[in-house]
This record gives sequence, C-alpha cells and structure tokens, in this order.
Amino acid sequence: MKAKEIIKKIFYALGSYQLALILIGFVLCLLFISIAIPQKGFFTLSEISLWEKENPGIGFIANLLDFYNIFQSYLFLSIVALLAVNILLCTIIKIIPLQNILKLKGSQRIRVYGFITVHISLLVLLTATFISSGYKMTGSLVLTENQSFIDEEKNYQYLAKGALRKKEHSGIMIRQKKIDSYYQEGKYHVRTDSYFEIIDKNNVATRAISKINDPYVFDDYAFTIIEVGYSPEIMIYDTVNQRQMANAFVALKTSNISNYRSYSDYLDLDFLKKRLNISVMPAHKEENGKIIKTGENIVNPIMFVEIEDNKGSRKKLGYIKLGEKIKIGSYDLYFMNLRRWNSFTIIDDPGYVLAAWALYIFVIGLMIRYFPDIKSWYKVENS
Amino acid sequence: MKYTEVILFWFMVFSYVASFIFQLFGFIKKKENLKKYTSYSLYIAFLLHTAVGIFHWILSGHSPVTDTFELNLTGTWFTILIYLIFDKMGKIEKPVGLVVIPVTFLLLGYGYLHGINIKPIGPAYDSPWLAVHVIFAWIAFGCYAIGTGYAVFVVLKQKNPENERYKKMSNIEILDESSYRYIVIGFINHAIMIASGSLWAKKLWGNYWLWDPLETWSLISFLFYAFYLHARSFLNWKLRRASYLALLGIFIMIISYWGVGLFGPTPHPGP
Repeated sequence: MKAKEIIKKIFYALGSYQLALILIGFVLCLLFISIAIPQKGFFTLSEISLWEKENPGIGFIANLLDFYNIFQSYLFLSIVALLAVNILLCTIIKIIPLQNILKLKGSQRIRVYGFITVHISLLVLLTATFISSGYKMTGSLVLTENQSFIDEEKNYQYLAKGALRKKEHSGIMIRQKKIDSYYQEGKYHVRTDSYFEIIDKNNVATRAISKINDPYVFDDYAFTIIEVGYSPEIMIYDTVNQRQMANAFVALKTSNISNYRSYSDYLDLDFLKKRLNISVMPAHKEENGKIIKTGENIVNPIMFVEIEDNKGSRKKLGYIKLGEKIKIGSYDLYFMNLRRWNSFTIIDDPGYVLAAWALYIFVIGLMIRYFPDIKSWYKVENS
Repeated sequence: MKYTEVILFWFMVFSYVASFIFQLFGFIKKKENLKKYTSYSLYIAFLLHTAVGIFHWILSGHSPVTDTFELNLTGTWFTILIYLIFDKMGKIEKPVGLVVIPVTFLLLGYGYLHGINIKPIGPAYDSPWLAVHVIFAWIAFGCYAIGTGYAVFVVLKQKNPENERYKKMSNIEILDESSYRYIVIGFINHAIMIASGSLWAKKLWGNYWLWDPLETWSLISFLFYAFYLHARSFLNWKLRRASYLALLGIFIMIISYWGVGLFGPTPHPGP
C-alpha cells in the first residue's frame, strides 16, 4: 500500500463518525467517573483521602489516572483533543471537494451548512476552553467595609492560574467602601450593592459598584460578588500585663438555612489555648430571657461568645452588646464594631468572549441543521 | 390568598388524574367515547394550571421559576402546553398522554412536597437569563418526555404487534420517527438551555463552566442525546435500539433535573 493511501485511510479514520461515537462514549464514561469519584474543586483534600481509605481499590486507580482532578487529567484532555481532531477532519471531509456542496440543492445544502456551522462552533468552543484553561486567572479575596487591599496575586486567599499565563496581576489597590444589602420582610435577601474604589498609581481610577449577578469589569478583570456577611471588630486585652493581644475585623461565615441567616466562626488564638466561637446578630430583641434576631440590618448588634477546649466541650460565656466586654480567664474581649464584608472573585478569562460566540453559533448551527427537517415534518404531515 | 392557590392546585391535580384515568380506561377498554372526557379534563387541568401559575406570579411578584415548587409548576405547564399544541395540530398519538400526564402530576406532587413559598426573587436569580435558561430547560424536557412516550409504544408495539390496542396506533416506523422528531426539538432546546446557563454563570459566578455536579449531569444528558442522534443517522439505530436509547435518555434527564443532590453538594439549584 502506498504511503499516500495509508495517510488517506488514517485521515478518514480520524474524521469518521464511528470514532466520533466512540469518543462521545468515552467522554460520557469520564463524566460519569467525575460524578462517582470526589473532585478536587468540590471536595477538600481530607474528604478525598477519607473516601480513598474507604475505597482503597478504586482509590488506587483514581490516584494513578488522576481521576480526582479528572477535567485536568491527561486522559480527559487527550480524549477532548482527539475529539477536536475528529470534528476538524469530519468538517473538512464534508467540505472538500467544495463542488459537492455546491451541487447540493435546497434543503440538502442547508443541512450541510448547518452541519458545518455546528462543527466549526464546536471547534471554536474547544479552542476557547483551551485558552481559558491555559490563560485564565481566578483569585478570591474578602473585603470588609473601609478596608484597603493591594490587589496582587500574592495577596489573594485563593489563586488559580492557567499554566500558560505569563501576565501578572498587580499594581492596583482596592478600597472597599460601603456594602448595602437589602432584605424584604427582614429575611429575604434581594440585592447587594458593593461600592469600592480602584486606585491605580496613587490615583482613584474608578469608583465602582459591583452587584450579585452584575460584576464590575476593570481592565479585563471582572469583580464578581460571591457572598456577603458580617465582620465584628474584636479586641482582646490582657488584664494582667495590660497589653492589647488582638484587634481585628473577623469575617464571619454566613450560613443560610430556610432563609434564616446566621453569622458565626471560630478563632484559634494561641495565647488563649482554647478555641473561641463567636456569632453575631445585627439586630435583636430580648424575649423571656431569650435573644432573638429581628433583622439583617445593623440596628442593635449583639455578639454571642463561647469557648471550646481541646476535647471539644463548649462553655457559653454569654452575649455582649456593641462596646461591651466579656471576660475570658485573664483576658477581656471587647466587641468594638460591626461592619459588612463581601467576597470577590476576580477573574480574567481571555477565552470567554470566544466561548460565548461559539455557544451562539452552535445554537444557530443546530437550528440551520434541523430547519429543513422540521419544515418538511410539518408539511408532510399536513398534506 | 395562598389558601386559594392551594385549592386551585389540588383541583388541577385531580383534573390531571381524571384525564389520565379516562385515557387509561379508554385505552384498555378500547372505548372511543372516553376520548372526549380525556380532552375536557385535560383542558380544565391546563386552565387551572395556568391560573395557579398566574396566581403564584402575582403573589410572589416574579415569574415562577426560582424554587422547587415553582420550577416544577412551570416545567409541567410547558410540557402540557407542548402536548396540547401538537395534539391540536393532530401531530401526536393520544396514548402518548399515558406517559406524559402521569409524569406531570408526579412532578407537581414532588414540587408540592417542597412547599409553596411566596417569597421575593433572590439576587442570584435577578437576571434576564433565568427565564431563558429555565423555559428552554423545560421545553427540552417536555419534548424529550413526549419523544420517550412514543419510544415506549415502539417497544410495546414491537413486542405485541397483534395486540388490538396498538393496532389502532400508527405503524411502528411512524411512531419511531415521531419519537426522533421530538428528541431533535428537545435537543435544540437543550442546547439553548446549556448556552444560556453558561452565559448566566459567567455573570453570577465569574466562570462560564464550573464542572459542578449539575452542569456535569446536564452535559452528560446532552452528550447522550448527541450520541442518540449520531447513532440514528450514521449507524442506522432505529426502532427498538433507538427507543431503548430514548428511555435511557429520559432516565438520565430525570437524574440531571431531580437527582443530582443525591450525589453530593452542588452550588447550582435545580428543580
């Protein structure tokens, strides 16, 4: 067999529908595996290692094939790459020779145009995905009202960067201003407006508002609000040595169960040798000796403090109002202030625009591909 | 006001159940005169369904597409709407309703179990993409459900070709072709649902694809139907094979819509 014929055979095999079906089948299998095996983005490493201990056999294979991070595994990427080659070649096979398409009439020609549009859009989508995974930057930070932050990659709480990204995000400062959260009937969260300033080279470059579902974009970086909550300012004072041991705003975690929001977290402070659990209510009332939350806006905040020893047993220390203190051994804990915080995800994704276009074209391509069929189904049945 | 909505809701469910019972008896006993009762009760159920939807919309102040009850209410409304439109156009086999109507009242019951909550729209849902995403998701499901209804009768008719009940239906090739057509329309709507969800996710979470469990299941179901269409076109998988694929497809769709929570946490609320 001549080399040319072999190349031709490989070309047609790589662009064949049989291969497309096999690859779709493989992708489906890997997607099922991603559901069965805990993935790194959604489970913590300790949860994954616990799962691995419970399933040693599968855990070993999963580790070997990088199935805990399946969408970045070589196996998945190779199959997607092969699928891209398949789509490219089958599109070329469909187009070349061009005269064949030009010979087609009416609905046949429209179907082929639809087929080509769908497959080209898939190629564009795969390219966009490649650009996104290679060049995207995702960072996250938590900002409390009136807090300034040097917006640099090294300062982020979490940072994920594509392997091919060279550009460093640095040099600007964010000054968090007011955060307004609106609630209906005192409990239904309906809106959050976060006001902040971006300071570029010592000048206020822009005054921005970011909202949930409406990120603010500055120099290709989208500032997306993910969560909002409360930050009490806590000061701890050593009454023996007359020293201030801590003074900071602590961004408490927000839990939301059936529209009841609670704001709490724990602090591991070395000098206390105990864990400090704190929670706040921005507005409250006292009823029959009980403290009841009355709303989500800061009206008359109150903080609940308890300590937890190494064995996990908890001791309630009580409630303190703003400006009051509570005793923890030889220390005094003051509740100084209460402000709102919001967490931002800061993303620069150069692949997004291409992906968005690919999605639009994909849908249009599908409509073109099936338009003659839908039209004929209607006509045939009516006749 | 909520009390009125609950009464309307139960009248609607009973009307759907009545329609199903009429259709089932008509099918088993081969009584033609029960057809009109099936239609009447189905139209009454649909009118009540529309009334419940409008009522809920007015009470909550937003389109009913945010929580489990609302999503199931809207979704089943679209499913029945598609069924009635095609039924009116004479493009649907009546017994397909034996699959579609029970699915409808089961989903309504599932939504009801999660409670009727009248609450304002949350900031995450305050997006024009919400309606596009949800409506197309339900049109896709409705079309797949009807396509599966046809597939069920392809399998039944092929197993019992001499059965009198199935003889009245169109021939098996037409049933199979009808199943394919609904799945094609469902597939296009499914693509719009995924695309709009992706564009919305970029605004809401900053990423157009997060690989969260619900997105993954959605992609699984989409690729599965892509497999169905390719297998049908290129491998000539028709009749029984295609019908089994359609049945498996709706099973995957049901997991994508209602079962994802069983596999672990997801930031992405589904119906």
